[in-house]
Amino acid sequence: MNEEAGANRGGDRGFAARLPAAVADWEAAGIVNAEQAAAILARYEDEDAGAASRGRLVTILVTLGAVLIGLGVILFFAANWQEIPKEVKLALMLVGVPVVYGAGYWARYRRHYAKVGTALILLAALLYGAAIHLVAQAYHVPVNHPNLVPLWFLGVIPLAYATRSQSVLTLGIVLFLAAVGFRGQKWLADVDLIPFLGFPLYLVLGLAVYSLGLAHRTCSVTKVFAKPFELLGIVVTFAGLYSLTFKFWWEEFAHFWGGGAEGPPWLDVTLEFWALAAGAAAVTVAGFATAWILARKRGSGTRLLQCQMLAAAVFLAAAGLVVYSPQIGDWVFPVLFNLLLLAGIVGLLLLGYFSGRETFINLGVVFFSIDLFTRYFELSFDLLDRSVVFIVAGVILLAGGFLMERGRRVVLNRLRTPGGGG
Amino acid sequence: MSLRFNVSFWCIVGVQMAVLLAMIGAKEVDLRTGTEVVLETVPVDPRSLFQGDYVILRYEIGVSGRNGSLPEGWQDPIRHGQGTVVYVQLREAGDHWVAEGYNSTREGAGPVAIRGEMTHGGWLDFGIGTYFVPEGTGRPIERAQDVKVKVVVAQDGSAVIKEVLVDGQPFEPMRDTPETQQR
Repeated sequence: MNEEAGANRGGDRGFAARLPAAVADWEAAGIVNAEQAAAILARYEDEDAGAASRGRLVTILVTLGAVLIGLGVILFFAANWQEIPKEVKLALMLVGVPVVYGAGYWARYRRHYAKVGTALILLAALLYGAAIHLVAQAYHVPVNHPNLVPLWFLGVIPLAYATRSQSVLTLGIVLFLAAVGFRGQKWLADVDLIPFLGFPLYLVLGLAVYSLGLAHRTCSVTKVFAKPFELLGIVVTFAGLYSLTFKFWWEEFAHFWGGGAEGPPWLDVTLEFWALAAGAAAVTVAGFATAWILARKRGSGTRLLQCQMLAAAVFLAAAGLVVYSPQIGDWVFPVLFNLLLLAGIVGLLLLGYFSGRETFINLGVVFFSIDLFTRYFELSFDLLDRSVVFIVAGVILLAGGFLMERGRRVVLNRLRTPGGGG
Repeated sequence: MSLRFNVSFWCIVGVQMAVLLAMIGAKEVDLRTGTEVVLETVPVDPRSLFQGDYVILRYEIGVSGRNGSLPEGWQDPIRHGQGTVVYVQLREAGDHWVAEGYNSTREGAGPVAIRGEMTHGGWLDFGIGTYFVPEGTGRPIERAQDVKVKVVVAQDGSAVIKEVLVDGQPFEPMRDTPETQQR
């Protein structure tokens, strides 16, 4: 048995995949009893988890390598751009980017080095963005020009679907969110309006991105794309909620509202803003509806999905309330969004527990920690002596970290136990 | 890999390259076919004029309250809306060009006109407000009294910076040394 396990260390995935069925057969034939069957499966689960962990490490290393090379190339050209002859610049961009794409294609599809190949394709996608910005720089177009990141996004997103790469898709979604920010410079006439229009917009965009993840998950062909949408959707949604929990935004708005403003501050916001906000809300509804219809069609449970739909509806309504009635009061919104954020975190932890998604639990713990510290500093900084504030913060950090780590471990252990986690 | 995948992968790469070529081509066409004009700049903030490795430029023709500036009321972004497109009709006056008039359409703005967009700050953004320089070489522009910009204006009003003139001479990037700092 030990030799077999040792041989399996070499990566016989077929053996690991066949084992549960074989063990069930042995148990049915009386060759092994239930305890022995569980012990065999546990032994090879560990082997399989070890191989998967090493695979993840390789993915992280090569992706990090691609990102570092991309950043290095961008910084090198940004610093030395004027000193490089124009012909060399054009040659480097127009030849270099396809060459890196070619190397990625060769590694991934010809030599079957999937992880390195994908990382090279990601690097080429990063270099394509660098090339867009460097061409702009060569003609003295500001690097924050609102069209540059959208052009980058439009080039990357079809590539993500063609290569079925999660890392390229993650880049594409991040670029979409960044593109909205760059275009937003034009849409939001006054920076004072960012908390009242920009944050709710990102909250709705987060929901739209998350719902797209749910919609992708319902089909076996598109399932591979679900994770980046879901995780980034959660992060952006919670970042949107978190941004709206600060009391000083609303005090500022009350000051603005009471300061003789001619009318609602959203009057001079362009049509593009409203079109995007309405589009994001519509995508959210469509994404959840698609997931719900397909789940019902398959006969799988929809209770968790219904809870998520209810949460999304509440968040959408809260975002709408901010945009349409920001004058309600300088205490209503901070209280509302603090409650929504806390409820959202609890919901995320429960969703992670019942759906068996460890990442959701980890994200919930991270958001809870950030919120706890923010509220602590917000409430205590003006009331207590600074030294006491920091000492208490340190104690909270250590004790809270211990308690959260222990709680998280208990939940994850329960998830990993067969039959646990619903 | 299937033929369909190969075609779609290389088509996407091809489209990306086409985007880069189109960006370069559009600017090169403007530079070769447009009208060359010299525009006067105004100091933005002497302490932050030079930021990192680029210089922020504002133009006399797009700033309110100066000779050849925006007409009364145009600088109000609430009334005219941020992003409102304005074509500034240009006329040669000595060694540089000045604003002859302001129009909301290209057709009504004469033979040479530059396209600007109203900003929140109440000045016009012509898309030529940034001039990139090699790292550590921008001090002469920051210290100069007379900074003009040679711009090529296309028929549709879009503009590209050709060069910056510092005290009447084309700007030559030079690394800042203790000697150049004393000058």
